[in-house]
Amino acid sequence: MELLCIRQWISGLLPTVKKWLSAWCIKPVGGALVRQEPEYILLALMGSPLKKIMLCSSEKEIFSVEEQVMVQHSVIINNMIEDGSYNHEESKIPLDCVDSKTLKKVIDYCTHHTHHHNDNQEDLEAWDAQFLNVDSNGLYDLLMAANYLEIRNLLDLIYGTIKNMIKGKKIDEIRRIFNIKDHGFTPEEEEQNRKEYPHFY
Amino acid sequence: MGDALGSDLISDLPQSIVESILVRLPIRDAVKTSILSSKWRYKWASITQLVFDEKCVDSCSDRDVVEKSVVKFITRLLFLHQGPIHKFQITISYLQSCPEIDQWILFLSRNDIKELVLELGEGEFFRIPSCLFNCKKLSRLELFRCELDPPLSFKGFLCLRSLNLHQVLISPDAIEGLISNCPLLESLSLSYFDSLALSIRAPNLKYLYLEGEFRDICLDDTPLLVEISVAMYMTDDIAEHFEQSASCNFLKFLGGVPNLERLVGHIYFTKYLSIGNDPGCLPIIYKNLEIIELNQVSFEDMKEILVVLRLITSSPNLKELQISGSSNIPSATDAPDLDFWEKECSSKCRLSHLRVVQLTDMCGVPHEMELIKFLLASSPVLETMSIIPCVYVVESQLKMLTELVKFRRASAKAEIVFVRE
Repeated sequence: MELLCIRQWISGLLPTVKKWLSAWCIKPVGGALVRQEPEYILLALMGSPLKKIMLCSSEKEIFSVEEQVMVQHSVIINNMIEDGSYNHEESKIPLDCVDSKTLKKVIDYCTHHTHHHNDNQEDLEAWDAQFLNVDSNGLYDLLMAANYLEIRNLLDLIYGTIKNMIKGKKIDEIRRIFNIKDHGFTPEEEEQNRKEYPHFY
Repeated sequence: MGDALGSDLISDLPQSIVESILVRLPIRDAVKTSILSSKWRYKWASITQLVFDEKCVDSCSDRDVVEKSVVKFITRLLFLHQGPIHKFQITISYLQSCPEIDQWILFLSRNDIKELVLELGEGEFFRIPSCLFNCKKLSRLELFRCELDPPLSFKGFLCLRSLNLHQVLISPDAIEGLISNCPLLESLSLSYFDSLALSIRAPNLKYLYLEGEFRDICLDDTPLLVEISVAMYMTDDIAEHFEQSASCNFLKFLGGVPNLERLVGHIYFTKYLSIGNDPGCLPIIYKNLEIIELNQVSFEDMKEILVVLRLITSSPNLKELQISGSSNIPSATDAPDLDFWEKECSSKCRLSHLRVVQLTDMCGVPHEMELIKFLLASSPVLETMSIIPCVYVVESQLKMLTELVKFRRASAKAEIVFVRE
């Protein structure tokens, strides 16, 4: 079809086309695996590509994400773009302390919150709860990534989750949740604590 | 969460992250982590924010016992604490003034305290020790039911941005001095003082809240004020004092605040503003004033009506107006000076941004109706006008409605919502 027809067809059938294009979301470019967001392909066809940036995980996997999304959430990335140290044509931002699995999750978080920021509070909270339904290793990795990239709202979310693991819970329960197998106290100290604060155990 | 094969990663998080988590916990839970493991023993001890409320110790029926245990808890905690304390807040109604509190404040003054909130019980007012005035980094101070007596050599809190004094015993000179010697002060809240006469000089002040019996308030140097909220109680003494004064309260209070964005007045505020000579056409335009809320305006007092009108007509960008009336029983249908509306309100007056109007406790007295008529005729973009009649005047509601329907509306979109019980 002529490009003009495609554009007209797309503008009429936007939702269907998006679903159709989401099947095309992985395109090999060069030697590395690059994820293309369906919206990007859509807008490229309509003649106005969104600015993208490349993030490189510690495993050397490259993730392409809308600049606007990362700049809104990550203070570190925002600063890099603002002070001009990032060249859109060539460079990628190396994130050596974030592995691919975690980076993908972080990008998902930022993208969802940018595109759905007008949703009602309950829906967003439900999505966040589902997002953080990970094991403690995953939570730790997300926390370190959010801290490194300085993503304020993700940090607050994770702090809230960890806080709830402590608040109102007995010591034995917290030790189980945190995987504290050896509390490090001498038997006398532990006994003393249990005698002095029986209601905490 | 908590798989048996995983390792304990949370205990090895950097201290800055651990503090961010601990600070979000109630103080009791934060301190409890000291018995979690040997690694956690002192992690809580360097948190920089300490907030104590009713739940920080176990409650029991004997108030004395609970009070003693709270004092012991806080003292022990401070003794074990390490490092700076930036925020210290006590909101405990059963904690009365006691000598230990002096010691806590001394300790805080040596540990870079920035925010201090002290709300104790209803008994004897706590006398703030002079070491408070050595807290050079103090940026927020909130005191409830205390006695404050700055020493003569006190030069002010140079970093103070927010001051909230609620039922505090302090001499008027001391308060004026305190306000004018804090150059960065942005937010000031004074409540429940007795017959305070005050002149406020605070060149950076943005937010002002006043509640209580104020004999005389003068805003001398507050050009950056953005929000004012005042609830003024009146006693016979004060009313008498007002009869005798000739200066124009409106100008004394609102004459120097060109950047005002929001004005809220409760109880006798409009009456207070109406005292003194009529300023005539105001020399000042409030070009940022978007929200005006005036409660208990007496529509039987011509001077109060004039205050309301002057405010409205001097705010060209007004978007939202809320007025509640306080006329008791509607008087006769004739009221004096009804022709004043035609004289004062030229047909050229346009409130070109007014969108929302809410009028509550309306009794249907002639001046109320004239105000509604004026607002409807001068607001070309009005969207909603809600009128909630006073509950005592069921009979005149129909009369009010009949008159309302006749009024000409400048805005085709205007919806009038008449709320009936």
